[in-house]
Amino acid sequence: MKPLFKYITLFSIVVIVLSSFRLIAQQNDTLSVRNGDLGDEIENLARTNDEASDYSDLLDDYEYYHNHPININGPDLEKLAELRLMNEAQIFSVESYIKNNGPIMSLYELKYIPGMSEETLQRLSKYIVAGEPEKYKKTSWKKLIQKGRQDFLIRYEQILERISGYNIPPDSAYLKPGSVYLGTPQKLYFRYAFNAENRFRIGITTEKDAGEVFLRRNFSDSINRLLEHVPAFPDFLSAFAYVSDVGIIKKAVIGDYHLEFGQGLTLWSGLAFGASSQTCQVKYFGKGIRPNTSANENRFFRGAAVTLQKNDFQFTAFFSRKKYDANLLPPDSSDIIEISGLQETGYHRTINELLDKNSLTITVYGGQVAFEHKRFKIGAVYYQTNLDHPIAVDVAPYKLFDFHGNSLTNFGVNVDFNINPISFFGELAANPGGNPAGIAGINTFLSDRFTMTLLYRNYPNDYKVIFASPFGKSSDAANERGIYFGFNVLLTKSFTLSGYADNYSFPWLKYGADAPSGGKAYLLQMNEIPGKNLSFYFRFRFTENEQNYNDSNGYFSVLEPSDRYEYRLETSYAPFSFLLLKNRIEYVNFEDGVTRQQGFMIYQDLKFRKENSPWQATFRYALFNTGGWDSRIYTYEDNALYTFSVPALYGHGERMYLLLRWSGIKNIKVWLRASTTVYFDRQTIGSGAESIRGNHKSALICELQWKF
Amino acid sequence: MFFSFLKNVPLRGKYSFLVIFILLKSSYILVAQDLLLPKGARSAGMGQCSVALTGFWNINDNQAGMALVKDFSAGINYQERFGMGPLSTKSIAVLYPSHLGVLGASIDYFGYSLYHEAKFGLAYARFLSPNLRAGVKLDYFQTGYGDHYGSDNNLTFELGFQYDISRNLTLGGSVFDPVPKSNFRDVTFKLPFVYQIGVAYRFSKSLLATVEIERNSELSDFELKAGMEYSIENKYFFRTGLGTMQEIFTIGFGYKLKDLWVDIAAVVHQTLGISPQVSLIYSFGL
Repeated sequence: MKPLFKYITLFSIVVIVLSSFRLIAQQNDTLSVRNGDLGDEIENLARTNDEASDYSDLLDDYEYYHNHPININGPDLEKLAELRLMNEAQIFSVESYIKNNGPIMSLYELKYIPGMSEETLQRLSKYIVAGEPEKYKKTSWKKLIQKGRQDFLIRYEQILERISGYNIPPDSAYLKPGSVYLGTPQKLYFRYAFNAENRFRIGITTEKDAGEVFLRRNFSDSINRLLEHVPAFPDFLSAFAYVSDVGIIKKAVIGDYHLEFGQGLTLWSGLAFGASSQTCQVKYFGKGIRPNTSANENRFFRGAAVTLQKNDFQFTAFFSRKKYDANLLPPDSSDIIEISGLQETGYHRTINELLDKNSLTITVYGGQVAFEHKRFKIGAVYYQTNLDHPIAVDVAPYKLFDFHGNSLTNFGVNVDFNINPISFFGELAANPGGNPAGIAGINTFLSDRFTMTLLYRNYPNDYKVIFASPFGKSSDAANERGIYFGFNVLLTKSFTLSGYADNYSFPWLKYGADAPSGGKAYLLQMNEIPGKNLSFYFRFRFTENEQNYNDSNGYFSVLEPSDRYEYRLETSYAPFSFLLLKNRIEYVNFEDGVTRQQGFMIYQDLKFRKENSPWQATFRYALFNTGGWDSRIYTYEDNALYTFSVPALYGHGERMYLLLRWSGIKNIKVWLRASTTVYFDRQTIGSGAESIRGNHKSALICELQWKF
Repeated sequence: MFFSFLKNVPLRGKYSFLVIFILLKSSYILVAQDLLLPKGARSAGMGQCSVALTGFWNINDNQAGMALVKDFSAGINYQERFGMGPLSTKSIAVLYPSHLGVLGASIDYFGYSLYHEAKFGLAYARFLSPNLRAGVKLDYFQTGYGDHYGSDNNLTFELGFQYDISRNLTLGGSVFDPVPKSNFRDVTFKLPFVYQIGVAYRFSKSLLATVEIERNSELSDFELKAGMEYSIENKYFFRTGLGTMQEIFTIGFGYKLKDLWVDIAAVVHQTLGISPQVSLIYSFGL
């Protein structure tokens, strides 16, 4: 209990100090940010990256700019490209319109700007305002903090069925160290944020996943000894203090933070979007230093970072020392403890997972020097990564070029410039003495109705980096070559055609591919918005990857392409102002050398949202029938603020959820969500410690936000 | 995918056979396929699209497109598959616009001393109405197998049309070898039956985009091709495109100097490498 008490005391002091400034009246926000704006992107992230489940980092800015809309005539216009609400071409178009015709006084004007589609306008409308931009005023700290808003968020989440991981009492856990959960099945999350105009921020995020120990119970001595090595409460704690625009200091952060530079090839610790239905938005807009607000436990830095700016020059320096989860190997003859790899799940439920917790310390330090003049940017990044236990050499051939050892140096140069009507971006990165990895692309605006993006990437198999996330098919920035071609055509103001073609190859072996392999991905999407209350889109996506295929004799494996065809039709219709009907039909066809699977899913959404009513409700009923896991279908679901649900539906069954939001008391919002999946074709769900006896799996979420 | 392990072998002249194998494996019939390709570096830069485009090199694909050529002109084209000499194709063509329509003749040669293919063609295209044009070409194919194995000869024809749906939108279609000889007698050298249909759309004065679908009887699947061309002052041309089944990505550049057009293009295949192509067209403006 002692650490808990310590945290609470410290926290109360901070909150009381900040509250002692007299708070001014707030604008009322009747609409919450629709997580759905990012639904497509998050669906894509979920299918490629099962580890990161907290995408709230990505949502932070949307939430902020929803409350502080960007003036379309102001200097923050470019932020809209960072937020993926407009593409670069549209930004240029708006800029030249303002230059020729003066400031935009009404949002209705946007419709007549070349390159703007109905779809873009619908996405934009919640985040922008028109009219004369406010002049930047120097404000005193006192005034600034008065303008700040505090935001408490607490969430409770639980699977209602009995999960087999809890069936065995913790006392006998050492018999099954990998499949007995020591803690309680509740998932608890708490978040506090103070934000004064994005110039001064404080944030705390804590979380306890389901199955993790919350407060120490009467465990056996051996388990208590294990728990002593790790803080008992909370399982995860992240905090930061951040300032920006103070004299020469552009940004500074103490605590937990992310770094994002260039195209993510040298240094990018946060999440990044890959190829999605926003086909012309593959360029990265790095924010440099960004405080960490998410509960992804292994993907950020802990320490301090600062960016200084003088005229056109920027200088960033950072230092981080953080403990990460890693799997320790037994010491070898020379008593060196090596690790087999980094763990990214962030779960600490079982003895095995607890043994891995915080077992590796990674020290990272370095910096960036950048020069920016008008539309020309160039930056050079250099940093050092040191591990206190070396990563062991793996004998698997596909891991031949992987990083091993305990020290890593990375450097890279990124550029970004614009020669109308083409914007160029790229990055070159390398380890000393290694082959350089590169990414280069262009965004073009060749006609006011045609936007095109080209991107070439070449990551050699011996490029080694831990904190990078560049555009690509594979999750690590190595062993990949490819060309991406994306386009977006406005056939009429309401009808958009977009698509991409991505051809890639992996020059070295991969997991599940015992030979150099390759693949391709195509997407074609048609959006039609015939009226204010009706819209639909059709999407076709095709992916082909080569994987091992064992012939019936089993003597040797050859590569065989596995194809996945996806067809989707989504319709949204609002018959009344308070009701939105949305449905989706999705069909998946999966084929590889041996099997052919088909998957089918249909859902219907009902969304009630009435002005002046404190209640909002969303209900979904979905039916799915897929041939197996390979033809699974990911569907994004609405959820409480800062929590996400993108289930992969497979097998035969139905899924439904009900989400209620109540905002009856000023400054307080409450979410309540119940969801359930019922399978028609099985009596046991899942496997291992996560398995449930029965044919249904239900979850309950309660969340409370207090913002003042 | 039985030959996947060959993919990383460096491709040089002496490995031509490997490439031929790989191409065969991907269900590409190298023969005849290459002689259908010399459609000029402009088309090569635009994802090998041509059925809805117009210009000089339409003499080799959808002749209807050459009805728009106004001047007596001659052109040469050179393409080298994956940068390998023995897999190169050389072409030469002349067009003569008369008051009855445009007449043309072309010769294409692919291969080297031990294997070659040659194609000799006579073409004719004209407007049938202000927005409809059609073209036809008679082709004579010769395939030579080294010193001792003699050669094969084939005669066939191709047809095409183009229709301007609106000022900016053109629809085109063509067929090659619609009556295969192999139906009537045994031949070692089998020509494919190919049909294509596509549209070209002019977004603005400087931007042209095109999409087409090709079906080749010797290949397993449809090929979807797309390309675009961006011009600056109708003098410098930048092109790019792709083909889905061949898994190619193309890039090209063109320069127009009074009567001389210079076009270069590169067709990039992820595994097999780059195929460069260059073509020159000179119009005499008689």
